[in-house]
Amino acid sequence: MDERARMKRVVSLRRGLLGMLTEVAFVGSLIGLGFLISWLFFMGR
Amino acid sequence: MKRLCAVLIIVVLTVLIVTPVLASAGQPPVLSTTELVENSYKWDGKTVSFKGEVLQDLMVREDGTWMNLSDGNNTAMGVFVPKGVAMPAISRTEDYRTVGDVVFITGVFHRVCAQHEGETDIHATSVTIVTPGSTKANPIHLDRVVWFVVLAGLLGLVMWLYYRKPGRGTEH
Amino acid sequence: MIRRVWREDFRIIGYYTGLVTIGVGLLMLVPMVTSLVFREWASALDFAISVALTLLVGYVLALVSRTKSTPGLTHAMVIAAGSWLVAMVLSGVPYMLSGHMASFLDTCFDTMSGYTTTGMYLMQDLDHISQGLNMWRHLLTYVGGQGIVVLALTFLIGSTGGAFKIMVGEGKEEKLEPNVRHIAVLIWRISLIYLGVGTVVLGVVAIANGIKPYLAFFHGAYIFMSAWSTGGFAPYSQNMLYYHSSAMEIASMVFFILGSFNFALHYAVWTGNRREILRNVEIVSFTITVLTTFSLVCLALMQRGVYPNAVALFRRGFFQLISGHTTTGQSNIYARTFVREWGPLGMLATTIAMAIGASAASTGGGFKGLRVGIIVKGIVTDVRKLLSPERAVVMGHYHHIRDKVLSDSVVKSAAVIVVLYVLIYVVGTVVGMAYGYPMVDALFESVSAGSNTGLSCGIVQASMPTLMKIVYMFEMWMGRLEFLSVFTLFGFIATSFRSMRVRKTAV
Repeated sequence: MDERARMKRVVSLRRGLLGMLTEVAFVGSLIGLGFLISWLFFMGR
Repeated sequence: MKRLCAVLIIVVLTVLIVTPVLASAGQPPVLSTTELVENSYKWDGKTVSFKGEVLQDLMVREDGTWMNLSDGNNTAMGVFVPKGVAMPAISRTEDYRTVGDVVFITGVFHRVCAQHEGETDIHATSVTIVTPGSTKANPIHLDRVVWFVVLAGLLGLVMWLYYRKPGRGTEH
Repeated sequence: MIRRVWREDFRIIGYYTGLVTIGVGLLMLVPMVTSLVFREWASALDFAISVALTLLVGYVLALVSRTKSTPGLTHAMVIAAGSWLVAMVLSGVPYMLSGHMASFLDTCFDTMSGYTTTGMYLMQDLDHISQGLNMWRHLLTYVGGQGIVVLALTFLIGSTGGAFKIMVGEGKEEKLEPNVRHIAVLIWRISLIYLGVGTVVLGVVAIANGIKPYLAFFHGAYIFMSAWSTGGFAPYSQNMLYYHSSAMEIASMVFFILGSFNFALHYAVWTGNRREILRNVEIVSFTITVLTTFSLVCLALMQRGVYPNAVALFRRGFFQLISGHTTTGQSNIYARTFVREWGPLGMLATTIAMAIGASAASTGGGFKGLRVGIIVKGIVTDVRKLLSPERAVVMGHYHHIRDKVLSDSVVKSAAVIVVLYVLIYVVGTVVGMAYGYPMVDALFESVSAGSNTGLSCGIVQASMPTLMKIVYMFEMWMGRLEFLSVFTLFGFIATSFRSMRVRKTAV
C-alpha cells in the first residue's frame, strides 16, 4: 500500500475507534442520568 | 396388665399420629415459581421450600453460590446459597446430554432482595439432593437420516441444474 | 398508481426470494456446527435436514424464476414482505424437529418473533433445548435486525427522511444506487466489529460471574446478538435473571441501546462526524422520552413502595424501561411482576416507552424517535405560524445527519405511520380484552408485539387463544416492515389477480 492509501486507512481506523468510544460514552452518560434520577427520587422521599 | 397395655397402645398411637402432624405444621411449604411470583408479597421474607433441577451454570461468587432451579415448563427460580450453608456436591447440571440433579432447598424468599439489588430470589438455609442426575438418550432416528439423505440428494440434483447453464435466465 | 403485473415481475420476485431462502439455508449451517461442537448429534441431524430442505426450496425457486432483471422499489418491498414469510416457515423446521413446539402455529410465532426482533416465544421448556437450537434462535434475531437495516438503507435513496417521502408520497420506481450499497457494507462492518467486541466483553463478564469459559463465550454471543438486534431472547426462561449479574445487565444495556440507534448515525459518528450524536433529532427525542418515561416509572414504583433503595429501583426500573423503550425486551424481572408489583402506572409508562420505540433505520421498532421528533416540531412550527403575522414565512427545521426542512409532507408522512401503529396497537388490545384480559395488560402486550419489543406481562404463552397468536404475529410483521412493504405485497397480489383475469378474457 502506498503512503497516501496508508494514511487514509489510519485516519479511517482512528475515526472509527473514536466514533465507537463516543457512542459508548454517550450511552454510559444516559445510563448515569438514569441512575441519578433513581437516586433523586429516593432523596426526595 | 390389660389396662396397662391399652394405655400404652393409645399413647404410642397418639405419638405416632400427632408427631408428624406437629412436624409438618412447622415444615416450610414447598412452593412453585409461579406461586412465589404471583403472590410475591405474601411470601416475601417467609421461609419456604423449593424443589427443582439444577440448570447448567452453577455460579460460584465471593459470598456464595447461585443456582437456577427449574421446576416446570419455562419456570425457574434463582437460589442463592450463602457461603456458610453446607452445599452438597452437585454431580450433574442440566445439559443436552444430561438431566441435572434434582435439589430440595429450604430458605427465605425475597420479593426484592436488598442484598441482590431487587432480585426475586431464595436464600437457601439447607440444600439436599433428592434425585441425582442422569444421562439423556437423545437417540438418532433412522427415519430422519433417511429424510436427510433424500433431501440432500434432491438438493444436489437441483443445484446441478441451476449451475449447469449460466446464461439461461433471460428467455421465457 | 397501480401497475399491471407481468410474468417478469413474478420472476424477479421469485428469483430474489429464492436467493434470500438460500441465504437462510446457509445460515442454518452455523447452529448445525454448534451442535456438532457440543456433540449434540440428534440436534445436528435436525439442522442438517433443515439446511437441505431450505436450500432445496431456495434453489428450486431461483431455478424456476431465474432472471437477469434488477428489482425496482415495488419489487423490493414485495420481496421483503414475501421472503419474510418463506423464511418464517422454513426457519421453523429445526424448531419443529426439536419437539419443543406445541404446534406449527407456535413455531411460526417464534420464528416471526425472532426475525422481527420481537422476542416473545411460545417454545416449550426453553431451559432444556440444545446449544444448536439456542444458537439458531439468537442468530435469527441478529440476522433479522441486520436484514431490516440493510433493506432500509439499500433500497431507499439517501437518508431515511427522504425515503419516507418517496415511499409514502410518490410511489415512484427507483433502482438501486451503487453508492448506497457502499454504506450498507460499512453498516455490516460496524455490526460485525460490535459482534466481536460484544461477544468478548460479555463472555469475559460471564466468566467473572462464574460461568465456565467454554460456555461463557456462547452466552456472550447469544446475549450480544439478542441485545444488538434489540431482540430480547436469552438462552434460558429466566432471561437476564439467569445470570444474577449487574455487570451482565449493564454491558447488555450498552449494546442494546447502541443497537437501537439509527445506522446512519453510526455511519456518521464512525466517519468523523462525532458531533452528530448530540445534534441528531432522534437522539434528542430519545433522551427526552427515556428520561420522562423513566421518571414516570420511578413515580409509580415509589408510590407503591416496590423497591427498597435507589440501586434496586435503578437496576430493575431503568433496565426494564430502557429495554422497553429500545424495544429490546430483555428482562431482569419475572413477567407477572409487572402486573403483581409494578402496577398500572408503571406498566403504562413502560407501554408508552415501547410505543415510541427506537430510532429509524435501526433494529428497533415502535413509532421511531424520528417521527416523534418530527411531529413534535411540526406542532411547534404550526403554533408559531398561528402566532406570526400573516405575511411571515415560518419554516421549521430538524437535524438528522443534515439540516432538513420540516415540510408539510414530511410531517404528514410521519403522522400517517404513527396512526397506523396506533391502529395495530389498539386492535391487539381490543382482541386481548375480548378474551378477558384486563385493559392495562392487553395494551402492554399488544404494544409489545406491535413495537417488536417482547416484554411480557404474562399473556403470551402456548395456552394463549389462537386468534391472539395470529393477531400478535400480524402486529410483529406489520410493525417490523413498517406497513408499506406489507401493503405493497397485498396490493401486488390483488393486482396480479385482476390483471390475470383481464388477460384471460382478452384471449
